[in-house]
Amino acid sequence: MTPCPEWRDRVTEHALGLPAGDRLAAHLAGCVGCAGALAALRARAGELDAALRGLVAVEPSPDLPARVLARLDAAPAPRWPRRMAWVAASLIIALGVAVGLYRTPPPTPLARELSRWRSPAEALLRAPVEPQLTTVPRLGEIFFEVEPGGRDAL
Amino acid sequence: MVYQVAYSVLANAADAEQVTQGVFLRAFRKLGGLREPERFRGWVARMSWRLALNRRRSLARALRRDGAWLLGLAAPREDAEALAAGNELQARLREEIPPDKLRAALLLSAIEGLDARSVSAILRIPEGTVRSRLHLARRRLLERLSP
Repeated sequence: MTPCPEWRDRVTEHALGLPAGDRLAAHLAGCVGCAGALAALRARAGELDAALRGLVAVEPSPDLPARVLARLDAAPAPRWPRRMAWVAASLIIALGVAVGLYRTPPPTPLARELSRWRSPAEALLRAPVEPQLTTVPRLGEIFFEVEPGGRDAL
Repeated sequence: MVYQVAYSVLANAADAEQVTQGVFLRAFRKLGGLREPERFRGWVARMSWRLALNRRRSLARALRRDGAWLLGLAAPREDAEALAAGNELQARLREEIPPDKLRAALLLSAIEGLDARSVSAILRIPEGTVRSRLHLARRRLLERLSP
């Protein structure tokens, strides 16, 4: 069957699944040629779709899964995702730097001994007013009364 | 599905099997990078597509490098077995399938389980583009292969 030339494109589109529209539907109802062409085109489109599916409906050889599994077994363990690895490495480095900066080594026994040692002359170097110099004065309390020529004020 | 996607690009069983093995190895290694497990199927399909294209390019490069005389050997690279098994319509279909973009949309859409949405994810093009390319390819085939 041959469709009317002016309707050929629309009939082909309709055979492929596009809606007919009122005008084409009305024409198909009255035109035997176009209606026959539509039926033939629809049948052919169905055959082509089936053939196309047949082209890609291929199956691999039956031993392919076993070969894939063997290669997976031989493959090294999966690594961390690259981004996660970077984050983890950055955290470890930051932690190491922080610990290195803030942690002081424990004093050795010799250093402890030296820090405890006091010179016998140290007491002689202290001023007799040292307690007054290191104590915060309280309101109303007088520590020093310095008067001109008054050495006994202390 | 992985094998079929690779086969749709390479049209050769041995090459498609090589790619399939490569896809599963790569998926195994990169599985940790998959943020949404429900996308595994599309992720693997996309990987299969990319690896198959890479293999096709490397085969083409090898052909160019090794000289024109090899082209004669490489011509029947499509499976002779598959060609023999197919019917006459399939043989004509192979010859008439439009190249490149239309071909990709047409063959991927023909794979069972791949709808327009899956194909759009594999090809990284809008779903509407997949549908229009598919329609255009089917129309061309229908016009050329109608009795």
